[in-house]
Amino acid sequence: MGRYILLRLGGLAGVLIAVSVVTFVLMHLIPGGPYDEEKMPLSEEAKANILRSYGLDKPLWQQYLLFAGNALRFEFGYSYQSPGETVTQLISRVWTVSLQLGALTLAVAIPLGLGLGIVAASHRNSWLDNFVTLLATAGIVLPTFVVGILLILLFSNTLHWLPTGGWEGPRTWVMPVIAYALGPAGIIARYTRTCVIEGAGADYVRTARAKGLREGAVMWRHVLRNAAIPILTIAGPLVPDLLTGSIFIETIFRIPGLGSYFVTSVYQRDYPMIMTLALLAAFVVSIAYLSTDLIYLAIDPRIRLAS
Amino acid sequence: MHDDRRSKPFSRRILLQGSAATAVAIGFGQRNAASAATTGVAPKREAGIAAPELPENALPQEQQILRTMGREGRYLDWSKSVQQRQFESALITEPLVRRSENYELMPAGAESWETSDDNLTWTFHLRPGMTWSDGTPVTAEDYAYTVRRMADPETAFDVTFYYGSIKNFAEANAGTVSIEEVGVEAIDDLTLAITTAQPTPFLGLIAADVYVVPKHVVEAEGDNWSLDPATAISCGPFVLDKWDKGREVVFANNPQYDGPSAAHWNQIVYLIGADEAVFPAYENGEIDLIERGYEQVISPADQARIESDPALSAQLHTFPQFQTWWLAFGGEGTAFSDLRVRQAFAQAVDRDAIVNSALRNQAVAAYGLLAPGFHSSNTEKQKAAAYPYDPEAARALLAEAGFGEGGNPFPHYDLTLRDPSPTVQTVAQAIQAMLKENLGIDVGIQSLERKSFTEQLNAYELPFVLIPWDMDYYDASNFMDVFVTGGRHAWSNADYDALVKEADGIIGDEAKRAELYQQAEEILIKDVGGVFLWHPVFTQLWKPYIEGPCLHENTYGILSWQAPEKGPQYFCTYFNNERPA
Amino acid sequence: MRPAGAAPAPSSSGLPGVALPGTSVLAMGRAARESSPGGEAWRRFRANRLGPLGLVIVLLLVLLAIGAPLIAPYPYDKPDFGAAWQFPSRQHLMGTDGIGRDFFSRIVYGARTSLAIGLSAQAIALTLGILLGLAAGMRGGMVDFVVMRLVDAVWAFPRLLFAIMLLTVLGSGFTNVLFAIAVTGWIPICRLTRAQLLGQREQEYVAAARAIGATERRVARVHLLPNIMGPIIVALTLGVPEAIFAEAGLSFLGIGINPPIPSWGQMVGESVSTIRFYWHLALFPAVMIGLTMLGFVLMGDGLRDALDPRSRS
Repeated sequence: MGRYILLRLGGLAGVLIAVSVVTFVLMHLIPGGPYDEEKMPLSEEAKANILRSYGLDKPLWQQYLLFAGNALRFEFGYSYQSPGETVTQLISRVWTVSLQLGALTLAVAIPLGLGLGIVAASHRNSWLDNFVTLLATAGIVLPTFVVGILLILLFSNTLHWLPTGGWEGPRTWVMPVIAYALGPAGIIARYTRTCVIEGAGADYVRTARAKGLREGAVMWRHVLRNAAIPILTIAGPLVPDLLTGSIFIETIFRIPGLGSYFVTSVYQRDYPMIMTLALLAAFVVSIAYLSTDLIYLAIDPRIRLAS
Repeated sequence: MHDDRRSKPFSRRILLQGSAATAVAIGFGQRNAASAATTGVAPKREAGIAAPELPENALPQEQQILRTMGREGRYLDWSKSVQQRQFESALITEPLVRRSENYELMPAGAESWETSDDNLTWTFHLRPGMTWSDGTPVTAEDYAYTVRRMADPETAFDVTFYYGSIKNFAEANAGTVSIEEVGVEAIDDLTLAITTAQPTPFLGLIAADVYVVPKHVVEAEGDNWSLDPATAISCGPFVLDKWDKGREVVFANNPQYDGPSAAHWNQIVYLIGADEAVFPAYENGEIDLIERGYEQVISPADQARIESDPALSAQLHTFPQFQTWWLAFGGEGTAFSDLRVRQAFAQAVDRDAIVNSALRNQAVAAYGLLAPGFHSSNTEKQKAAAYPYDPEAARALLAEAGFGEGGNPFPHYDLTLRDPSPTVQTVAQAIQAMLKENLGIDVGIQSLERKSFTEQLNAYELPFVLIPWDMDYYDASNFMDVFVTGGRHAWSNADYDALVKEADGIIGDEAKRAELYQQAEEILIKDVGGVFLWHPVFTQLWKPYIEGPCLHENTYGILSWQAPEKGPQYFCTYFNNERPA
Repeated sequence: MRPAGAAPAPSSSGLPGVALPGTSVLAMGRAARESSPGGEAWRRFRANRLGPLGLVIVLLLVLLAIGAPLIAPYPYDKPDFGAAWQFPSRQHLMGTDGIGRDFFSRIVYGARTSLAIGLSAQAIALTLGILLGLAAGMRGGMVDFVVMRLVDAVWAFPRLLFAIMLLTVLGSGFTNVLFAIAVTGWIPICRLTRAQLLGQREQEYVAAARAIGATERRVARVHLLPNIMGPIIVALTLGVPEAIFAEAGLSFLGIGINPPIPSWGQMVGESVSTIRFYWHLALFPAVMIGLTMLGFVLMGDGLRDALDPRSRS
């Protein structure tokens, strides 16, 4: 077990190196640089100064090694798009918001998805089941930005109940969390339904029923407990995505989160930020993946170790 | 980011009457600083209390909080970066001159100015008693430093071409002469001299874009001085109260300001938000004003929504911008090096159809480079010169050039767009369909993000583009120079170059200048340097409970709300008592 | 971090069904015990009420795509400037867009692009995913280790960042968008294949096959592949709408498919600027994407039931 974890952590180091190299190469393949010459070209002198001040005049391999060396000490330099802040400061400022949004979204999506899924499963093939299927599908298929605009039209511009955007307390949380949670809730609902139905037909559940347990007790003690594993399997990978923000939600609801930086950093050629974001995202995803696997191991010893 | 230096013209009338010391501050007469500024000590006001008396029907001072919304910039400092600046940075500085609602130049940092006999040196007399909010006096050296800092390649300022008429400015920027040799000099604490390399009729306009920075702070703190209220000291009508990154920028009334632009607003709150967030927020009453109503903020469909709502329609104000969109072509080595091909394209595109459909109510047709009402513009002459929409003639020209039926197949080109909005994408598809229908030519459409586009455009690598240019200053040279050989596009015409160059240098004979520019523009249209398609219409909204003496139709029949760089609207307005609580 | 703006989760983890890390299917305890003849599966598929409905929807969409020139009343790219911005009417069932193109015709032709994106992305995912998954699962050892580390690395890469950089370098357009979507799309299939293999390899019937002298290759082809296809097919069906979303998200960011070729994703992405008044420009493409998703989901559910040997009556 300990060896397995060590091996996986070694793998994580490899992943981070691979991600950083690929990102670095791709990023420098993109034409243009961190200077603005939209109306007229800058003078060569001015351009050279910008490149020098950012250390971009050095050979690329040196730039990479410099970045890697600093990254090992958790120093990621200054963000070009937000002067006066280090990349670390900038990320901790905006990631806090994304973490709040992501946590709230999970807190809504998981119970909602589970509830809908159980309701659908226990009324299998009824109109209620079909209705939930339809609802879940709608949740999954509507792009968050469309849902967001429609929510604003309804709750802000028509009913005047909620502010259109910002991130200033519960009233501003409602709409973005709903828009963000619908998709994951729909997915969890669909999987919960499937797993509960499958579980309900399993031998041990039949045995439990035969012993005379009430339906409710069967559901809680046997069916749901066994469904927990596959549901975790679905919810696990959603977590890192929900926690690193979404440009779509942030744009529509005026939320100062991390998600937008995955786009703006490329467009503004904010090299230190691009590199750090790639590493951060890779780290979060890998850790989430590793944790999910470890939880399986803990729950079900029949599952064999990967390597 | 979007081109943001949208603005309105201002008349050069005053400046061009030789010395402009006669300038009259229309709309500001009662608080023209010239009368008060005889002593070196600024009259102190109590913090948070604006100078001008609020009218009877106004809300109390503490409720005068104007809210607006837009994108976030990097610096509150024009002379560090124009394209990356935080909007409304001009609230916390005092340019040499500002503009009235009629676009006339008015005293601001300078009370008066005059030109030398050889028309090369401009002398500005500063308003005595100006102080920075840390108590330090504002001096001519601050202004001189501001200009030198923009020229300094270390600053890597992004629109240096704009100040290129100042002597040695471009040379210093290119590193060939020292910064000290830039043609700006503090003669004494209150006198600033700007020297031009050749007579420059529009230098006064450029002086309106010299936004003074505090030399002592910038030297100590570096380029990031404007980010923090502690160091972002102001000599303008407002001070920076708070910059909560990603959320809001708050400007508070500057109690020490005693100039002509003293404002009523106790605070101006600039909420940070993406384009998509602005209009819904306005509709919901979270902001009072949409100043930058370009079509990413208020799309043609949004405007239809506004027009379908009587209350919103009453708050809608539109005016054509000094911005032009055109199709431009590659040069040697492309099929477009043949005039007949360019002309065929010009005659195959129906600009009226585009303006009336995709750009619904948000554009007027363009026949030439200079927008109607702009300096030296003559729409009648443009219309006469422009090739009319005529598919038959277009086909004939293309065949003459050896393409189409019986000739060579036309090469495949992409119409390349710069970070297009959905509306511009739709327009591009209209053009694509017209070329197919009228000429049988298949062009592709390719969107590039801004920096990739710019890089390739500047290298003349894009054979076919749809692109805008918008005004930096109200003078034809600002547009005409774009097409001079070596400029933005591959098109080159020696006669055009000669006419523009001659016109750029004429002082005192505006009729002659206009005539030369119009001749040059005729060549540009006839030789199809570009196919000029439309001038966008700016869409603004503000709440009915905002009023102010400068918020009326100006002498050109336009009611607009200008950015603090371009007009007085932020300084003359206030909430009346009809504002709901 | 997902290439799609679309539904956050599905796009994120690849596909709902596919998001399962390797062990999930085992965990579900859905191990097949014996191979199932196709006829039996088809009977079970038909017995499920919604499965066939899903199949019908998908078939209709495919027909729409193939028969677009016959079905669409107008060309998809021909403007009628006098008829711009029209709401749905008898002449234009779904209204017109900003330059007067018939929106119904564009929706019909959009089926081609959107299904092409969805199906090609899945075809790539299937080929790459199954091959690498098989290699990892059957060979084990070093091959397995290398493949799985590759999977880890690609999976860990922030997809939106990657897609944007890629499209900024390569330019927008169908092939490049497809590439940006597919380059990570194979990961879940690969993982699923491998996990299934690991589970199945130890089953009795495989041991039996080995005992009577079957080669590894034969074991893989005859015994293992048929038994692991169920979950993979489900994953694939869910992956089609997934890729369609991904394109919508990229269009929202202005880096989708090049016009004038219509795609539903592009239409939804562009509708952000029109939705507050010309609702039809947002509604119809969203409904079509929804219908596609629904069709594939229902079909996938039905298929899973049909292919799951345990549910045999």
